[in-house]
Amino acid sequence: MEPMEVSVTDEEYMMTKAKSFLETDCYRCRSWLLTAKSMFPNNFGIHFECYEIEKNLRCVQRAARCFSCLLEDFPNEAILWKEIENFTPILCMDTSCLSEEQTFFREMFSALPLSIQQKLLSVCAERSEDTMEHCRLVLLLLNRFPQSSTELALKLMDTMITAEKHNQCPNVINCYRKILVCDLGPLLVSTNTLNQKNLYKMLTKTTEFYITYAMGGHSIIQNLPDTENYIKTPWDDLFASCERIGKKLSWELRSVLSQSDKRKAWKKVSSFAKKFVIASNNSELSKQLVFCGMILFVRHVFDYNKSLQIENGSEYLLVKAIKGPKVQINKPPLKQAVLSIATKLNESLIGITDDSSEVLDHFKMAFNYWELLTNKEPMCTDYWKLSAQIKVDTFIGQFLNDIEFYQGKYKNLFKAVPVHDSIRKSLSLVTLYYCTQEFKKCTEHIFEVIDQIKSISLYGSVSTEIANPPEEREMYYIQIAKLPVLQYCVKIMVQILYNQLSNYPSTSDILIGHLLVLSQMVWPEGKAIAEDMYNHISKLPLFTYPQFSTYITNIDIIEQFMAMFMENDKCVLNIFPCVASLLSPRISTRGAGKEVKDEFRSGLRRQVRLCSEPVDETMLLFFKNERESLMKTATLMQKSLTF
Amino acid sequence: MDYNEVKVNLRKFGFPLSTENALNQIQTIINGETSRKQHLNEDLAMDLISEFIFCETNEEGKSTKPMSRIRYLELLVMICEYFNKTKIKPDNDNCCGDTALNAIFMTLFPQFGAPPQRTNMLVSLVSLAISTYSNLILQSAGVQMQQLGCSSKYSSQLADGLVKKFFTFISTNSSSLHLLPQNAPLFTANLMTSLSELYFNTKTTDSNITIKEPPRIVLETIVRWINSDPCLCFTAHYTDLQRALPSGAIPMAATLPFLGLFRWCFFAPLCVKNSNDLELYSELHCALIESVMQGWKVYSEQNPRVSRPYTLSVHSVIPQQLKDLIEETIKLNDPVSMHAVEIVVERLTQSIHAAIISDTIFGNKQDLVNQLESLPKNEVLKALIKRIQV
Repeated sequence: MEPMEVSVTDEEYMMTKAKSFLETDCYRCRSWLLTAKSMFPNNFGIHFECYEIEKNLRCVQRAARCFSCLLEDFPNEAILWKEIENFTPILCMDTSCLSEEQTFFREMFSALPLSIQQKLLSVCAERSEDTMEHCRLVLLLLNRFPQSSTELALKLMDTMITAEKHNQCPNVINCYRKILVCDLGPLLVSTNTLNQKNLYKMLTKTTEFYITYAMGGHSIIQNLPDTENYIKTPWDDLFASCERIGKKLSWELRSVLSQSDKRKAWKKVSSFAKKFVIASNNSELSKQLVFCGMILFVRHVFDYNKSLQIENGSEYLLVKAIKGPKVQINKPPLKQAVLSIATKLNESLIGITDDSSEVLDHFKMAFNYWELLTNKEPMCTDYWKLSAQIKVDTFIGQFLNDIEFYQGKYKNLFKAVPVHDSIRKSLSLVTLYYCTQEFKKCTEHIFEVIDQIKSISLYGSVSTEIANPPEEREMYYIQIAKLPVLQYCVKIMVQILYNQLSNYPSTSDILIGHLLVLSQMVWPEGKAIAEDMYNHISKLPLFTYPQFSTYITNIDIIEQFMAMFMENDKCVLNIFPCVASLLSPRISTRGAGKEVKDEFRSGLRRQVRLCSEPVDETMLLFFKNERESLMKTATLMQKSLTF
Repeated sequence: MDYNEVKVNLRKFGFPLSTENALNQIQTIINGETSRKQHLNEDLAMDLISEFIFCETNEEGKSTKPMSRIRYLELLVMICEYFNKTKIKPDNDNCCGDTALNAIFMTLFPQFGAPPQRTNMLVSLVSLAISTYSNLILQSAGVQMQQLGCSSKYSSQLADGLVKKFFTFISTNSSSLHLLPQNAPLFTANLMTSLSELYFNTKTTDSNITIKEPPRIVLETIVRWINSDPCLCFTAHYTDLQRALPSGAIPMAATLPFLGLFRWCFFAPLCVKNSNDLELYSELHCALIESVMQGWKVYSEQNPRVSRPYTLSVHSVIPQQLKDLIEETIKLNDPVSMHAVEIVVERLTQSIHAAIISDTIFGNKQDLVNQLESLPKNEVLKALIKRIQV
């Protein structure tokens, strides 16, 4: 027993001695520690204490040296492994938010010999019970030691996919998928670990992840630290990842993903399809085409959706072009008219109410890809398979609706109208009911639009596209702004009234008056309407429209009335209530005195003063006051069509 | 070849062409095939060197005025460039340089037979080489120092010259100093050995015992060097000098810097008053025992066939002067002095223990015990003596 006790005292004496110099002279302390360690090479306590002293002195190099000696000489000490468990998680943390001690551990780990680093990482990864931690440790291992086993990497890929399923992640934007796609993916692809089947698996997972992230408007990925819980450039990352995987699959077409000129990319894709895929019916080539094509397609839809939303908060809506006014509206066709040319985009069919060409360009490009992918075998089958897997349809709803609109499948679109009340909803219904020739409902919704129009903050500008669309135009993107929307509603009303006027000339006074009012909103194109109305009026013995003074502010129309009054021989213009009361019961201007004429003149003169009034205010007032008569006309018109 | 013809030809050129041509000429003479007239060749080389390179003699072999400072500088740069541009053999390590260049260096800066100003030239050249990372010059210098002995007059003059003309003018943070152990480890190790002999070495001149301390920059630099590589101090031991020498030359035994540097640590507590410097000696001591214990262990694990070096020798580890100094200090009998003695004994014990542990101590067990027993008694010392005797 005695010598044992003595030796313990020796050790204690030396350690006490060493520690007594810790504050005053750390090198003297270290000299003692070195001596103690060399005197008692088998005493774990002394060696571990030396390590702790270096750790507390924050001396990275010395601590690392002590630590690797400990690991070499005492590999089975529980205390040592406890320490290892303390600091391995730190290796996975973000460097920017480490405490001083954590930073020290990180630096010490880097100062360890590489073989020890590798051994530590793999042992800790194996021991780790937390999936995320396990995966981060393996990632660290793979990153630091690319030569370490590929089996480990493949196993990790499976672990991540299982973890995603196992943890019942509500969608693909979860931490496991992010790590699989963003961290493990590039590593696995670069090291030639994946066979073709796994490459396709990774490609699908990657595409699904990025597309869902970008199209779904996701920002934060749950359960990840702040610095890595978002993706800054999902599209660029998607293109880069797919190009990387495409390279491993020896895809010739992969370069289109990094092609900055979208038109050139499209040319390449379409010629690839024509030259190889359609001709050969080769499934590998088709897969290649469908992957690249689909990614570019969705990207164009993304751009399209973005271009529909203008920066100032306003947006575009695809609506039917309103021709006319001299368009004879026939009874509604029994079957839906579908545009026969739908497979090839006819650009002149679509217009836009202002100068922005982006929307049209994006629609055209997206349409091209859509048509290529869904209309021909073998791509068609592959596309639908992939699209179902990645659930692409959930992200391209707007585009699909607009395609149906383009194809004239209006009836299908009623269910796609936004659920919540909004000007967009009302305007969609206006154009859809117009297309399906349900004019009563159409007019009802025009009033809904009018009711909401005040809430639009954007004023916009009147558009010749709406006032007088080119002959071949079938539809255009209307900017949801006060003036264009109002103009559009006016245009439909004009067509309804005009049609009614030509069918039932007997109820003409009010129709003529209303048409004159409405024509002001589409001036100067409205001039033709006005002239037609003058013509109608000239054929009437008496024209009664007491609302004239309220709604007519257009100087041309007022002048014309003055002229008509001056040269009037047949028609009496009963347009000023005050003047009307002076008229004799037998309606004739010939009997009217000078007084009447003067009154009329001064009435028109008063009217001239109004010509600077904003026409849109007048229109809103008109719609508000004349709602009943307009509705009545629309209902009559509807009936006349049905019977 | 007619020797005179060589000289006459060289005289046709002025500086710098004459020097450049002379260097090339010397290279062919020294590294040319050995002929029967070897000694004549060497004479020619010496002549060429003093006339065309260092311009110490004129055509008639008589001494000339010293060269201008500009010329001096130009000459240094030229020699530096000459060493730098020479092709390094692919199997060259960074220890002993290029054999051919070593031979030229030895001829340019011989131990004997050169005028004293050439020593200054050597100091300037080595200083320039350190600053410009001209490693081949440094490696040649390292070989030469070892060949002539690190405590020889030649090496001491070089070391002393470097301290006075280089170290004192350079900052501690100079990266050329930090990188020296990597670029020229043999030179660094031998320089440390030479430096270690310059200080705390009692020289009884005129019966006055003077103990010189190293300048702080030297101390700091050495500590940094040893800490940067625990094997550095062993470099001279494991360098195969034979490869670096011209054929026929016999390599000299290596001396390691341990003994001298440990002596610094033993003397310092008794002689040095500046507490900042004392801290540095504590660090130096720690670095040294770590190097003794770790350095050789690390190196011998990788190179098992190299013989064991000696870091300490029983007979010189406690010099008489140290014993005397300890005795004198004890006589003062004040706490400060006693504390200093305690540190000295502590360091002695620790360093001897380190040498024992690494099995690099030279001498007889009983002699060591006798030496230790002459020191003032102390717990650790007792434990050590017990351990030695077991």
